[in-house]
Parts: sequence; structure tokens; C-alpha cells
Amino acid sequence: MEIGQAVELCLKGDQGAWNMIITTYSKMVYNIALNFTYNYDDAADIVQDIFLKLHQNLHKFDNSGNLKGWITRISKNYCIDHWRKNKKNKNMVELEDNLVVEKDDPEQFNIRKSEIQFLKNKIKLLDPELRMTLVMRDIEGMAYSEIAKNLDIPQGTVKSRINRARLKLAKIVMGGK
Amino acid sequence: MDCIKAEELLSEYIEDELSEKLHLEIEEHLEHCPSCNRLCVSLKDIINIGPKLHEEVPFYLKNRLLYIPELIELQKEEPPTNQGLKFIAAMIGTAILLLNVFYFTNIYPEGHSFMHKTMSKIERFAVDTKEYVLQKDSVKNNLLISFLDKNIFADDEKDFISWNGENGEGNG
Ligand SMILES: [Zn+2]
Repeated sequence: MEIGQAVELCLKGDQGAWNMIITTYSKMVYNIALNFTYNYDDAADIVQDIFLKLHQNLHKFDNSGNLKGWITRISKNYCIDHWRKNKKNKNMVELEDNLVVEKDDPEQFNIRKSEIQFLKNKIKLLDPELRMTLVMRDIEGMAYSEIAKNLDIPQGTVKSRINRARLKLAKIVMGGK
Repeated sequence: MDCIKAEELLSEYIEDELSEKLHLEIEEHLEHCPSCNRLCVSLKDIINIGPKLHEEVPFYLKNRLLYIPELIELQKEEPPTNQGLKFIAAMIGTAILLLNVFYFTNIYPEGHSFMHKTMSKIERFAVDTKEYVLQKDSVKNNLLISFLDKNIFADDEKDFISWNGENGEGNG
């Protein structure tokens, strides 16, 4: 089954097609949500709401269109909206550490868990639009062209946004250390 | 090259996406500019740590997501609830609970005596009904017994009646 067919089959009530959509895109949506919330429960609730919304609007999807882009834009709008509504809440609890750093991975030798945790919390200080592109590029590892296609913005804009996001984050990190 | 221009191109420099000329120009700037150099190191850190921030979808969440189509179907199938009837039932229940307060306490003496009077009336009614039912039953039982008695002797009676009748006809 191809992902393009999945929507069509899903509309006919095919559970396997829905499973495929979830397996393919839930990771990305979850990681976007994690960077727009302060705890795992909220992130999980947001992801569930996004996929519920997606399922209810599947009939509006143009089959020749870009499903990943559609899901990315729904997620982005939902997460930024949620962030703006909840950022006034002063009693924000920082995301508890849920990461596993493998000791035998030479690449991770110099990266301590605390450093990861530190960066994770600092990302939330970035402007939502900058944060979104940074998550897609540096956490999800998407190519510039793919980000541009999925967010429906020019590649040049993506490049400059990611550079600005990294510079801002670097200055925050350097200031906080 | 100045710091502003160098900052602008820093990501592309690290990701090796610049022309050779620009790449060399930045390299030269970084050699002589400690602040841009520190920024460059920090940017490389971010790029290295970034992928480690990626997290897997927890099992419980994945299950919740897979269940969505079923959940929507269940919501569609749910019959419309009769809110009016539910409300009336709730009101009756509440009223009974409130009346119990008068029955079991003496905070409002008139209400208390009224409740006890009403309860004794209900009890009286229950007793009367029971007696009535028992009476009715005993009448029924008597009738049944007499009916059975009649049936036991029915054949004889029939013979007797028919014999009488035949006799009568014969006589008439
Ligand atoms: Zn400089």
C-alpha cells in the first residue's frame, strides 16, 4: 500500500490504512508537540487532538496533494495556537528527562544528558515560527527542500529561519552557561 | 567579511553548502574573530545534539491514535440520550433524599410529623392491601375447593341431572 492510497482507503474504513498513517507520521507530530508543551501528557493530548482532527477532515484532502505537508501544517498551526494560549501560565514544569543516551556510542561520548536536557528547555524560548523550522531540521533531520515543501514557504526563507533559530539558541545557551 | 555577514552564512558554512570562495572567506574571518568562532562552535553543538532530542512515540499514545477511527464510529452509534427523563428521575431521587431529612430528624417539626403521618398512611395502605389480597386469595381458594369438589362429583351429578331430565321428559 502506498501512502497516497492510504487516505482513500481510510475513508472507506480501512483500519490498516489508518495504522499506516499513524506509523508514518505520529513520530514527527509527537516531536513537534513536545517542543510546544511543558509536559508529556499535554504533548500526548495535542497529538491525539491533531490526529482526531485529521481523521475528521480526511475527506477534504486532495489525493494528488502532499499528505506530509498537510499534516505538518495542521500540526504547526495547532501547536503554535496551543502555545500562545498557554504561555501565560507561569507554573510551567520543565520536561522531565526521558532520554536514553547510549554510553557506547562514540558520537555521544562528549554529550552529557544534562546538556541535552538544557538544550531541550532552551528551545522553548525561541519564537514559535523559528522553533518549528529548527525542530524539523535539527531534531527531525528533514532536508531544507522538504521543509520548504511541507510548510509551503520558499527554501531561502527556510534556510535563513533555521540559521536565525540556531544563532538565537546558541546565544541563549552561551548566556546561560 | 564582517561579523553580520559571517553570522548570516554560518549554518551554510557548517553544512558545507557555500561556494569555495565564501567558504574560505568565512574560514579566514573565524580565525581572527573569537566571538564568531565561539558562535560557530556552539552552532555545531546544537546541530550535533539536535537529533538526540528526538523521542519515540510512547506505546500508550500509539494505541490511543490507532483507536481513533473506532472511537469516532462509537460516537456516531451512541443513541440519543433522553435528557428529559433523566432529569425527572434525578429530581425525584433528590426529592426523596430531601424528604428523608424531615423523616429522620426533627429540624422542622411540622415536616417531621407530616412525614411520619404519611408513612403510617402508606404502611396502613400496605397492610390493608395485604389483607385484601389475602382475603381475595381465601375467597379464590374457597371457590377453587368448591369447584374441585363439584368436579370430583361431577360425573355422578351429571348422571343424576340427565337421569332426572330424561325422567322429566318422560314424565312430561
Ligand atoms: Zn565575527
